[in-house]
Amino acid sequence: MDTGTLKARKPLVVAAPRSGFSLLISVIDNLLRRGVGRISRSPRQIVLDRVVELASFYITQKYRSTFARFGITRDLIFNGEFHLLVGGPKWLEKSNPQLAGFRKYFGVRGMGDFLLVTTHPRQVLEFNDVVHSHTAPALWLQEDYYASFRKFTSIRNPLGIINSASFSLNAMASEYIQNFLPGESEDHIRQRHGLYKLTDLEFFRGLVRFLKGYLDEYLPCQKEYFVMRWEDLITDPPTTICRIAAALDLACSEEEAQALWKPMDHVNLLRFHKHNYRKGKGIVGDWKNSLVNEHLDIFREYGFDHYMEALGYPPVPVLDPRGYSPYQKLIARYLQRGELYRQVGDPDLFGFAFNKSNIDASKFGFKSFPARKWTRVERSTLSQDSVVEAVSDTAEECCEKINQLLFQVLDARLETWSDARDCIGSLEKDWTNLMGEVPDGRGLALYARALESIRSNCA
Amino acid sequence: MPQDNQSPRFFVVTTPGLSATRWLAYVLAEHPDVYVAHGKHALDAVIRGQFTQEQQSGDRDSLMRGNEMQALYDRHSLEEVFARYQQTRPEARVYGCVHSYTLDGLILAARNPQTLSNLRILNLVRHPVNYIASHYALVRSAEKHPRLYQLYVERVFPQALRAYPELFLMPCPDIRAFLAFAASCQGVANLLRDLVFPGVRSVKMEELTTRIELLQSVCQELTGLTYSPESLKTFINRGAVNQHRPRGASNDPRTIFEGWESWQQDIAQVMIPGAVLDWLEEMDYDVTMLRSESSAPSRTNTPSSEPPVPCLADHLRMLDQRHPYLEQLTRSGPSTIQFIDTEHPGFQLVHQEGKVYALARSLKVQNPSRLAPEALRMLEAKGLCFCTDTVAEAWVAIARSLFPNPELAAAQTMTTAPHLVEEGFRNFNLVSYGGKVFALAQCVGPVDFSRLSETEFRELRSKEQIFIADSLAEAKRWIEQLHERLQPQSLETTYKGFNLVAYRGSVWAVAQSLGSLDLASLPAGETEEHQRTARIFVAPSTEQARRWIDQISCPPRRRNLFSRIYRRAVSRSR
Repeated sequence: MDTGTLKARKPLVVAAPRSGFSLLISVIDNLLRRGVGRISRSPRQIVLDRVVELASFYITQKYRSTFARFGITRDLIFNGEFHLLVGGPKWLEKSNPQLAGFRKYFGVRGMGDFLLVTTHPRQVLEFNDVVHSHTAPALWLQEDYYASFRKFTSIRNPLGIINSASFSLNAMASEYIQNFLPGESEDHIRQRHGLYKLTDLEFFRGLVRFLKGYLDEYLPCQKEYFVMRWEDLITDPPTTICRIAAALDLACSEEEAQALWKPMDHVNLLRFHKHNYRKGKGIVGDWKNSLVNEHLDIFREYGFDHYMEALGYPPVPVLDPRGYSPYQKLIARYLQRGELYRQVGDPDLFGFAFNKSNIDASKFGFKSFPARKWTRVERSTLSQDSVVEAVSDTAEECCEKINQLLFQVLDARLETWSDARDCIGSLEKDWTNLMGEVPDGRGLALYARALESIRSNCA
Repeated sequence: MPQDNQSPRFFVVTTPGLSATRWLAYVLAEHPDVYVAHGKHALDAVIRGQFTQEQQSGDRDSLMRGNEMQALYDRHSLEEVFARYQQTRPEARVYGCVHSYTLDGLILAARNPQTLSNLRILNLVRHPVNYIASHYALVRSAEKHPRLYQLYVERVFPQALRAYPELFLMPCPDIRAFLAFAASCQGVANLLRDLVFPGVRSVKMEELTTRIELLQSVCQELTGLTYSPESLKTFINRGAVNQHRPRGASNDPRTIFEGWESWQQDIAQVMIPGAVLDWLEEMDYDVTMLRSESSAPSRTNTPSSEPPVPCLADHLRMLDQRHPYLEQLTRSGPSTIQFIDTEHPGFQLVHQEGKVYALARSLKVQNPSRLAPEALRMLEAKGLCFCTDTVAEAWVAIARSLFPNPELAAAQTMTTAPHLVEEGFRNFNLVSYGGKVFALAQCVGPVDFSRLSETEFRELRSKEQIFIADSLAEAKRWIEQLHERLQPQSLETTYKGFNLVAYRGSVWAVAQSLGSLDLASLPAGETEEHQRTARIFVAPSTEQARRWIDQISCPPRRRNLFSRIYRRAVSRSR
């Protein structure tokens, strides 16, 4: 056991959304950050980190100015979680696993939204101490680059995952609420959106199909992962955290585990996405208060009895409708009538909150644009294609420039801190030019700060 | 005959109402030795009343005078109420009331469990669908009687919203109809509060009003007196006093249910707890129409092209962005009713070794007398098992466990004597007691804090006549804020001879001919009179107030027809 610098095995977390993914990352991150337990970062990684920070500022400003050309400023919904180059859902590109894909959500009040995928060299994923992804658990195992990583996953009763997804608010919806509906009851928003999602059985099937796709890929390789069950973490945090620490070869007493858990127990863990945690929830078995038998039939229809068994959960049950909660009774009434719940409130918010990431969207008729070298636009509902095309052009152009710089760092001889200083110094002209394109002078200052931080590392 | 010639006998018929209670009160009062009070009516309303006459005017009387004694029942203990009964008719040998209490209200109103032990209690039940239909008609009729309607607006509907925040999600085509319907379903949902008290006999209204032998046994059981079958038969033949619903309307629960709009059916199914339906089924009621045992239809659900009816939350926002009801939107956890329904479906009584055990039905304990004292204490602390000497004590223990008022309990556990700190601060007395400062409205009169019952406290608080603060400053702050809130605010608008004033969450149109008027101090009767004569309107919005004023400001010949037009305007606004 070692409480010191972790040199050998970096952590990688691959898990389905709403399965305890963010909690697992936070637990590992906090275990690593205790005392001197932080992962050591190589000179190359340090330079890459600085470039990612600079690129994040640059590309965010470019996106904003592109929208501004169309008069879209105050109405742009672009959550801070996506400002970072490596922010948003991420994965290894199947067609070229040397690259990582990152999904950004853009929304415009009154106009709709779209998803933009950008790709960069996969090494930028290590900007985060804990490399993480919702996607392709098998692919990560096939890549030699990740052979040395300690691989973790979180699982949760699939009924709980889908139930949680039915009430979730994504980062874009969160941004919209923060900007335009600050006094609105969050619980009420979730309840009314949940009613739509749970009375539209096609939507519900979309959520279940997405999870089925993930599990089909995950189950054959689950033994390669250290599995954290969400229910274990919620019901017995100290023991579960100690097990995770042991898997990282870190010592951790139950008292330390308890202390580590306390600040992350049933709270929101993200900085800009303030609605990632549903207040008063995170309760084992809470799906029994919202799902009804028609939903459970859909689970069975997609073979979830098998998945439940393979994951170690009891089979999909049949509920006694006599024990339905008032909310379940309301859902049952709509299903009985074959009626969708349509009182979803603010149409913009409802559109932004649509689960575009964790749903099989093939049946929903969103617009997709042809893929380009570094970027592609997916699932657009934006009424003005010209805006989407302009943002796509900006993204492609910026990614071309940024990736050139990233490859330059990756190709450079970077073994010592002195190499790192020289490398970042060699990029000065490029960054000065790039930051010169954006009106906000903070970009230039940011480069100076990056230079200074690497110099201080050298010292 | 009463068992003891010296001590009077007492009985209570508990029910949420609309169960032929006025009729039953008259039946019981038929015996010359029996005193009967009914509902919250004047204490002599039945003993001096005329059955036949009331049959002709019952609905109107009940709407206009049905709440006259509300304060007596809200502010006084059961023992004090019985004393008032005896004062009203000293010569009677049996005293009782019908529909003055619900079962939980009765138990919470008793200061001494012994009072409950000495009582004959009967719980009267009616098919929930028929109850809702009648109650709905009653609340809609009450819209013309502001003093009664106030109860639904300010007390019953907010209770329903607290217990069922799902109501905010439901389509609301008409706010007043929605309020009336939800308030009616709340009456059925509240039966759950009665179910937790085991050992009380329940009788179906439908049988009581049609079966002579049952009626006779019930009367005898309650009063200890004999009633002649002929007299009872006459009552059965005469039928109910109050009708509430239109004559000729169907009494078949399924037909009534199917006649409801889908939002009404939704509310009924959502609000009526499964445990209540189970209990009603045990009584042989067919309540299958209220069960949500659905199977999804085979057809694909397709969105309608018509814009959806706004849900209650959106409808309220249309009336007022800061509508007070919207404060209930954020759920803080399951309500008591939902908690009882899902976690704690009542108690059973077990008599063992001279003790009475009230055991939670969720608990798998057969022999509570064999439990170790420590285990028993733990179960009691969790509210799952109570060991008492009498059934009545068990009821009181259950009531205190399930329906506590933590704020009052905390203040009462500290036993220092009450001390008047300041008298008449903006019409409130400030009393220091139990480490807290009580702000008590002077209009309430003297109050013994050490004996203030849950019922009394809740009532005072709902009327904003009491507030418990941690300090004198906090109490004064609350009083100041209360005054500010209750202060009428001019909207700086006059319209066709009316001043428009924002007051108590509505827009009041006050005829300028009334001169300078302080709405806050206007007696309720006077306000109602001004409303009746079209000198004051209470509208949900400025626009609505203007519309109503427009309607009465038509050409002169139509002004004489004001009453009719006003009534039409009111009915349109529903």
